Amino acid sequence: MKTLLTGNEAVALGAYEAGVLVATGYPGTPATEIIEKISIYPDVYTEWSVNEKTALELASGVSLSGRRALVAMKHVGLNVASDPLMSLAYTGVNGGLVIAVSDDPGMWSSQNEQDSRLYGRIAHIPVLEPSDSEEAYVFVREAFAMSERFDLPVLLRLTRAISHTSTVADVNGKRKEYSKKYTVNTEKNVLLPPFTSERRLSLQRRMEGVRQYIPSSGLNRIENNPPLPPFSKGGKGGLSKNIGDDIGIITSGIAYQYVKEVMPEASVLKLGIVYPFNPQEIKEFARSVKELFVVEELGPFIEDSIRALGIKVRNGLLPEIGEMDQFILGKALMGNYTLTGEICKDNHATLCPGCPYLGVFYLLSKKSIFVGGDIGCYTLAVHTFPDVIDSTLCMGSGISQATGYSLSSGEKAVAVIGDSTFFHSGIPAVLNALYNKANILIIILDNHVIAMTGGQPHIGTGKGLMGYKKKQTIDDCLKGLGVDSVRRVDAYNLKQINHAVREGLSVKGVSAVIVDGECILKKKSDTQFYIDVEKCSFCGSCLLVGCKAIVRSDNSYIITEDCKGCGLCVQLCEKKTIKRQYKNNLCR
Amino acid sequence: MFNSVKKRQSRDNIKIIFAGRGGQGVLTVSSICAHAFLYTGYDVKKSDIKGIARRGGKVISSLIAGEKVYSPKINPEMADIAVILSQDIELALSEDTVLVLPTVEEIERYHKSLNIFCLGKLSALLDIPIRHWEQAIKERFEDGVSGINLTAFYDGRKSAKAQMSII
Ligand SMILES: Cc1ncc(C[n+]2csc(CCOP(=O)(O)OP(=O)(O)O)c2C)c(N)n1
Repeated sequence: MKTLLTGNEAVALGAYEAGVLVATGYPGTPATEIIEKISIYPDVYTEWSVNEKTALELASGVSLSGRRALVAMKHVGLNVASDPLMSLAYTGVNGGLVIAVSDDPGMWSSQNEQDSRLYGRIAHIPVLEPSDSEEAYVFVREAFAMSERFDLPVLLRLTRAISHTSTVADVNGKRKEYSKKYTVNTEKNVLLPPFTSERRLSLQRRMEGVRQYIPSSGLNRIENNPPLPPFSKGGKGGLSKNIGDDIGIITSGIAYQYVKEVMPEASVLKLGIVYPFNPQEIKEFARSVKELFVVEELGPFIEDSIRALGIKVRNGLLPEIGEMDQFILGKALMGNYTLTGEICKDNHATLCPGCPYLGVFYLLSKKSIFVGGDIGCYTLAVHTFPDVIDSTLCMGSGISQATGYSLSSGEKAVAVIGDSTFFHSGIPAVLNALYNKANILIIILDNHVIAMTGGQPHIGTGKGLMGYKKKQTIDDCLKGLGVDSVRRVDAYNLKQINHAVREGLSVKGVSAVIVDGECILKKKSDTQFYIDVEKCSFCGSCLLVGCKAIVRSDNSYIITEDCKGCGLCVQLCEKKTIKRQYKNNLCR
Repeated sequence: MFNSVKKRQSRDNIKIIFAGRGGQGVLTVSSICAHAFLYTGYDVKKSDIKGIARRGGKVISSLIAGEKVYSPKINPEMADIAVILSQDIELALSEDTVLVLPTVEEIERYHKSLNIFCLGKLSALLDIPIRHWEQAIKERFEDGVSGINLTAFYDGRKSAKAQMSII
């Protein structure tokens, strides 16, 4: 049956059909929908794990037991999961283990761009890369089969343009259960000398097996476009050369689509498996063409490997930065080098009107103190309050950065971290701060959801993809870890927050303030505020809270339809001209 | 020399851009349209801008359909048709792009189903049998809603046809 699927939906469906018993992951654009889509099938156990490392480790336990498991994450998530990944290549699998990772060239929704194909080389594992949704659907099943056949975890590498594009796929929707027996095998599964030595050698042999298998796998294909008949192209009886028919291109993934767009007549070696390589296959293709190009996004991963085989490749002049498209490729082929592909430069994303983070950032913006930020919606505060966050690096980093800053400056420093990020990787940083007697205030923004990636639940919410789960409060967690000074305050009460932050800052040692306010996108409100324009003194105090619902109009400010009735601005209005109204009774 | 190749490739396919603000149902109509193309037997690819951009408000979805579609990417200036639900959205379109824009009255009248109304307008410009549009719309909505939506769709289709006959 032909249907339209995004790359992420295709991975979910393919994995379901492959009999996956367990699917785990942690949200992250552009990979999030893989787990969300597979969670609709009742015969697959799905969970949002606390972080990517636990997601992969859990899945490897499923694999050990003899069932198939899928893990999905964004590129930076794979960094977090890289420790178990490297060693899983040594132990290998029992039931198939596939890791779907989606890269974000151009950083549309990420703090950096990375090329996950490189993990194939570091970890010594196969990497498959589909060019559209149908291939994503087929490749997942192939990845599971390869995983079991070669006793290796397999990486399925996607990029944003694959994950988030709907293309036509021919699917059947039938699931085939898979299960194998578990037998104890210490020498394989316990990585300790002397077993490690044999596992290392075995890894080399297993990867060699993959290399030999490539030509018969059907994952790679050569497209030799039939040359157009002579005389077809205008020239008066003369043999006119067809464009590109002696040029050979090696490509993979989304780049393949751009190649077909720009040079439909070129011969193409389309790689579905981008690590490892079969040297013979590449050499033969290179011999069959006059000139060889490699077309790939993000950097010369394939190209370097081909050069290492001693094959001459023409410098493709492709940018190593950002997202590619057919226009950039066209320019490069004509000899025009562009430094970067498309890169996100959007600065419009700010905190929503009524966001529970507005109050605390407004108060922090009045203090000159080091604030170690973290990854989440709250990072957007830098577009509202330009200097309030001093740094943002990766998930869980803010607490340790604040600790480091405080250590060397001798001053108390602040860390700001979201609820999900706290559970994801903040906890070890809190323990480290306590252990090493840091002098920091940790502000935890508890909006009861993973907001940035679209509103997923986490352990702090007590909900999961499959219904109710254990709920853990941040307060208990902090106290259990050993933080004595913990205060929970209302995100919409400026006085309360101010008081708690002041108290927290006066503590010598590690203190914490939990700012409690549900994500405004989840909340329904029946009230809004309006400004009594007659009485408004136009002082601008209400603007300080950074709410986008307040705008200027002639000689006063007004509150627009976007008002969520949070009441933060009311607390700043000196003339008391901001009034409440009920939505079904709007006087405007 | 490569330019000529590129032009020939892309001329055959129809390229449509859908744009609007979050909550207007831009992605709903681009998805319905993509399915209508699929049911008619075309190859089709559709990309949505997602991620942080969503929070800022502007939503853009691009669709390419034809016998065979390779790249899912287009520049706004390549668009054959642009369906724009919100008047404050600026796109660098070319002069040849056919615009599907609701009038001020239509925006007021159709409000929540403005997206489907505009889809109706779009349908008058495309060579897709009506049954495929209906199938795509019905599949998208729960049964109860499809009646209302089909009305908006037919209103849009009629208004576009009337406009075309004036020209
Ligand atoms: C290692 C890693 N995994 C996933 C992501 C994607 N990501 C970015 S922000 C975010 C949400 C963090 O949630 P929370 O701390 O609750 O903050 P909120 O968005 O709710 O404000 C996630 C999962 C990432 N950047 N890095």
